[in-house]
Amino acid sequence: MQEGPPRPYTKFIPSFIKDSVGKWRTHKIVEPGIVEHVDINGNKIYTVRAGSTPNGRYSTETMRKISALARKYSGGSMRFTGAVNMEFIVKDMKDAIALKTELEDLGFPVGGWDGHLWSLTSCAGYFHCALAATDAPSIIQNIGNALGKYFNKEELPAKLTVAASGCPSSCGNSFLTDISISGIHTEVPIITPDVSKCDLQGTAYTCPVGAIQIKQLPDGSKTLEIRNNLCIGCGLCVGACAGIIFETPEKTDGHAIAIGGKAVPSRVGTTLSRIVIPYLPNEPPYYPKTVAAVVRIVETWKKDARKGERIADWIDRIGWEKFFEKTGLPFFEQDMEYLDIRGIMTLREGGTR
Amino acid sequence: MSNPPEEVVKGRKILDDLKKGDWPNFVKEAQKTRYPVDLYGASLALKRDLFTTGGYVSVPGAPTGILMRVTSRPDIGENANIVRVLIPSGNFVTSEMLDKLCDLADKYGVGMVHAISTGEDIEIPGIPKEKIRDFIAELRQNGYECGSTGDAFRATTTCVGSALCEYSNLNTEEFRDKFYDMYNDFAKYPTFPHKVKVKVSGCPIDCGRATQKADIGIVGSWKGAPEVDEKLLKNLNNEEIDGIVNSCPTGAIKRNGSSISIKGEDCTQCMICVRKSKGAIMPGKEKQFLIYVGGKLRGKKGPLTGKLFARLNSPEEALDIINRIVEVYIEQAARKERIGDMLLRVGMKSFMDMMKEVPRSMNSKDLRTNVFYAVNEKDREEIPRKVSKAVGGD
Repeated sequence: MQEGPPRPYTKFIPSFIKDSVGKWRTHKIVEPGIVEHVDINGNKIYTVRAGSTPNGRYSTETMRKISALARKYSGGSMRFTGAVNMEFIVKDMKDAIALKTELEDLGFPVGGWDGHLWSLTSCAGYFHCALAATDAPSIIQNIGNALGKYFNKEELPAKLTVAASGCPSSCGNSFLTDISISGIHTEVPIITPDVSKCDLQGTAYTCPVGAIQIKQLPDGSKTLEIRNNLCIGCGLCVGACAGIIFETPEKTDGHAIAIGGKAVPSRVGTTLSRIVIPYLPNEPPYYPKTVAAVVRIVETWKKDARKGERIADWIDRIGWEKFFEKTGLPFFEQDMEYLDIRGIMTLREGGTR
Repeated sequence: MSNPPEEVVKGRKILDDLKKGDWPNFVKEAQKTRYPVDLYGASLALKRDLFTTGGYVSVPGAPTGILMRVTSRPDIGENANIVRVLIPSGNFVTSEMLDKLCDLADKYGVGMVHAISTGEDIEIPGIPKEKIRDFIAELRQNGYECGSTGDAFRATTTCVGSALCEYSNLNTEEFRDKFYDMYNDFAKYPTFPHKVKVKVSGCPIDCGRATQKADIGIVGSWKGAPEVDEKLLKNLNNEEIDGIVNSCPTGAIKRNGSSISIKGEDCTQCMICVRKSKGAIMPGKEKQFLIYVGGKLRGKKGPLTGKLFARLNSPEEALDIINRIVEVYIEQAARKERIGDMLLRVGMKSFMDMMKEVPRSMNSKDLRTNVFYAVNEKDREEIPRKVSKAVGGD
């Protein structure tokens, strides 16, 4: 048996693009969600992109329908993109339109590309994860409902991507996207007697700020101690040891909003998102404050940015002060130290070890 | 259940509210399956996570690929362990594969498929502990493999590459296939201090997020100026050509009447002109491959973007350098330290020294601002000598 992922890839791509691999010449966007590709011999194919559920989870019933669509229109093959969208490759425009109708009947909008919302991604949140500080899928569901019109109907100045993660681990791609929501813990975890079952040394080492110390009790057994003034609430120790827990997450957990991340090297280059709102509480099911803040940022950017300016480029042009003025968001001094670090952090070349 | 707990009742109300709206709905999808939706609803009502990690299942030949998720409220919903399935290169899947995974999800799991996770693999959630062994055995019989957890190479991901994109300087799918031919043991057995993510992008636009998210990122690029196709350039109107000329951040493009010339030494391969030109400007013929190290999101020192580390001439060299990077990483990193954290600690110069045989060039985009540098005896003699050789002043 072959180890690793199924290979070679040529067994999985649609048969009608096999001869064109590596020979593509141009592409153009026909309408939101449909792109025409032409190879050097003039062969044309179309890619149709559809949005997915916020956390990419489907019932097998729906997945079988999607699979049947791939079999019917795109040679029994499709792809799932890294931004959790679906892409189908079809032979002609007639098929593309028919596929679009069928996908929309299934409830999946066809859109993206160019000046539109490209992707909405989230991590598992409470749905499957053990460390979540906020429920990312339900936040993205609400943002999807609010911004869904930008996926294929209304235009934006440039590409927009939105992501939410349940905790600072950023599994949902937050900090990489134009608008990022990241769950945060705001309390110091507590040590329970279960801590004796953990690898104490290893747990102490996970702390990035050295707030965890090993303490010897009078009876000779060892436990851990957290220095409250140093703790930043990253939650790494809670993930490493089941004996350390957050006591009242329902009161203290929340999420931060950061904006301006992108991977494209043009204009300001590759950057990570900067935090503009340091804390909002978890308010399921509608998260009214979070959704309102995201919509405000997007609407202001849409009105003010020049064509082709991603959020990071727009802020680079107008400056952070103007950003807070134009959006009407309050400025929090807690965020200041992060605002001047641009893109690649300067590494300590030849450090002192 | 005759009398469900209070939080379940509240949770059901929240879930009903969440089902409103136009965007594809994950609650509706979850309710079509046997996933413990009540548990999820209760965690929303209580505003706290009701899963914990824990438990361990030993499956022969599957040291990675299984995530254990234990419920902390067995009275509301049961465990939801997850098995990760590796996806073919370029994220292309066939209907056959999807149907098979659906069958397996129905048979062993809760009838739910997670396609695709942000780590770019397919997950089958909700497999009970005692069924995981049989599930993986049947998965393997069908030619698929689980993996991508633990301190190993996580799922190596690529952009769509040559299969569908004209800008690609590198056949990313073929590269990933070769990567797994060479490094499958590192991907299967957790031998590193912490996880290592390898990501591959065909061009500097970086759809594969190789410069942002990858511990080791490979980006296909080229040297000098991009190619200009005079025939396609004629299709562009006056304003479009002006737009291309003006958008160049380094002013490398000059206009001569209806044609343009691009000065190779000024070009930074940012691809703004390429994307605006409707095919008239294409990546250059002479390729180079950029290696970025140290990008990450999680870990001790917070999110970092990757740092340009080497420029290579062939994809084979890039495959080879991955091995040398992980050798140094295994040797030098502390436990649970990502490559980016390690670089912050040891410094880029020491890292390059350890690597040896790497083509040394000025890769730094930003220079350091602190002066705390261990200038040793050799440096005190060498640095002034090099400076005076360059500018005089003896």
